[in-house]
Amino acid sequence: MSVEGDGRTGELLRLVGVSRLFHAGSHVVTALQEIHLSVRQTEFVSIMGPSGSGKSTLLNILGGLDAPTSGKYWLQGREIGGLPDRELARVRNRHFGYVFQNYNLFPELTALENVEVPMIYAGVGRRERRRRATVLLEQVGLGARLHHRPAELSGGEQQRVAIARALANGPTVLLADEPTGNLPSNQARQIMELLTRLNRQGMTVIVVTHDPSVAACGQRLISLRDGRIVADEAITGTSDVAARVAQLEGVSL
Amino acid sequence: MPFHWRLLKAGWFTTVLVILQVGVAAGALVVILTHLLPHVTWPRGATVLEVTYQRVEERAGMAMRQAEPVFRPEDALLVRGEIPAITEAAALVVQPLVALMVDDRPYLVRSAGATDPGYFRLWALEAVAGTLFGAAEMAQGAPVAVISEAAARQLFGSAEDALDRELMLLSVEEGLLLQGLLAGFPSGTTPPPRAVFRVVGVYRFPSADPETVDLRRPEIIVPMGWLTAQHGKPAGPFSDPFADVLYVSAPMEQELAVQQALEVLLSPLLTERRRLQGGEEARSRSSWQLEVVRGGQAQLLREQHRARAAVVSGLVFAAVLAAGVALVTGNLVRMSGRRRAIGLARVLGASQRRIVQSAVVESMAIALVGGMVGLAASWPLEQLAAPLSDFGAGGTTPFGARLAAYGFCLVVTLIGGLLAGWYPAWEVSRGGLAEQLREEV
Repeated sequence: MSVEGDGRTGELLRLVGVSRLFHAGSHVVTALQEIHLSVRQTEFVSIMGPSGSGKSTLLNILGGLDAPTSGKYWLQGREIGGLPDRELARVRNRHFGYVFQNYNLFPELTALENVEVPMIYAGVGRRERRRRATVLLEQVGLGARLHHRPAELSGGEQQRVAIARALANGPTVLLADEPTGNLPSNQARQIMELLTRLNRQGMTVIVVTHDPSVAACGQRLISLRDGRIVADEAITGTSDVAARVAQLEGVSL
Repeated sequence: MPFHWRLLKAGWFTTVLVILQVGVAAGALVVILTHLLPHVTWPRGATVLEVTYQRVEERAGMAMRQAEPVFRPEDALLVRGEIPAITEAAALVVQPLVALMVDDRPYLVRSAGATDPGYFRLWALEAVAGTLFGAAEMAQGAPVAVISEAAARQLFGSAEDALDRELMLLSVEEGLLLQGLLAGFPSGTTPPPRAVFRVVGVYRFPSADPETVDLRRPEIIVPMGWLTAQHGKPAGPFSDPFADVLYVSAPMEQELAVQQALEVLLSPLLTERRRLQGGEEARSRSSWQLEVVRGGQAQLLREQHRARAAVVSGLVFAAVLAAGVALVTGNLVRMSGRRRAIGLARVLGASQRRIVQSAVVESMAIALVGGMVGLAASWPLEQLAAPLSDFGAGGTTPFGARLAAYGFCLVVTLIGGLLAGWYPAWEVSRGGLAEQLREEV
């Protein structure tokens, strides 16, 4: 295992020359091309780009849900590209918290049980995981909804359950793919406030979004087009993001 | 995956269907095994050799063979004395298709025979009512008979009702007349006298197979001593004091050696006896051959074993296949329905191995429940199947065989559950995580 992107320098994630190709019959679709990226601890990174630009593919690779066709990937100085399934599952369980656009909760389980699931895979005892899940749900404002199933919760509440679940094992990075995509604006605002608060508490957050107001919550904006990073810049305000979006989509404001 | 019970409850209908399918197949498996397993045990112990002296005659280019009555009761003693491997021997005079009268009503039985008590021991005949005649009746030439259970039912209604009743065996000629195969007796001739016997016992062959008809197995057996006491005069269906067949039993592993020893011992003896009996001129175109074949129980059991083993194997395979297909199909349906949940579980930290392990445990549990349902269902299934099949004609299934069938059924369902759980889970969980999460439920 090679060591690069040492955690001591504050660098958490590092991608070098990462490409991802998909084969669709005889066609080869390039989703990502020669991506070089480094993310430092406690950063809030927003990833934007038009549809098909490779945002979600990049997030999937960052989160260990997908493997690059070529290139290398280090997490806290450890290369995780070639890890066997069991090790990779452990990395996903301990280092990453995932928040999806469609929440991805288990519909058969209550909010409390949903939050407990990653802790089961981490081997946390029943009593401890119940205690931690309760605390987490209280932290996201769902202390009164512990025993409700997803179908009995609003979209915003479901997403907060998903965030509580993502935090269950104290992850290194929180990865969110369009976390507000299915939510009305007031609930979307609450979710983003929650993510921002977590980031201020020291959590590294990487968000993929179409929404400039969501992206503006971050400190750094990575813009993708046709599978390539076309810009990687600090965010100073929502107008910067909106301008970058317009530029990516070829629209003049 | 965690919270299996919830997931099972969510897909309860599919689960119940799979349990029922496995239950029916497992029940069928138990029925098949409990009814047939006792009949497919490999024959052990002694084998019975059937010795006949065959006259082979060329007629129209074909070799016609006929067993001639040449054996005497003392031949059984001779072979037992001369060939140490022979454990039992008995000569049998046998007459097929014998007509008889019981209470002035005519009957026809498969065959009647005269032999000595060695025959009972050789075939391990069991007395189901009364007793089988012994040395005393042989010595006295007593007019007693033991009859088969089937004959007792046919002639008297039951085994118990047959005891101490009289049978009047008719001569072959009278029998033919009675059947309408003979118009009348030639003028100036009278048929041999009828022979009256008192039934002292009813026997059963321990390996009785209702589908097997052996004309040499007499339905009515009388002591050879009675035949000897007639001093060569025809009586009833018996016209000759010589036996048609000599049966010997020997350990299976010495079967070949005994066969060879019998040929060496009996061939010259029978040749000499034939010469003394005369009639050589009329039979000058015939050749004679001592034939020693595994015509006894061992042969029969072996053939039955082969046929039944094939039937059992086929039926067991079909039942296991049906249960396996039901399990795999059910698991595939359930696992495919959970593709997204499986993907999510993997995202949250479950390894593929853990997913497969959980699925296998779940599948084995379902299979086990199905197996238990099958055990419970086997009894009503047996009742349903009984009129359709005569597999159970051999009597009640021994407890051990039933227990073995239950055990086998549970082991098979568990193994089926393991395999049927492993493959669908492995198949469903091996795809890319991102694709699994995008899967629509």
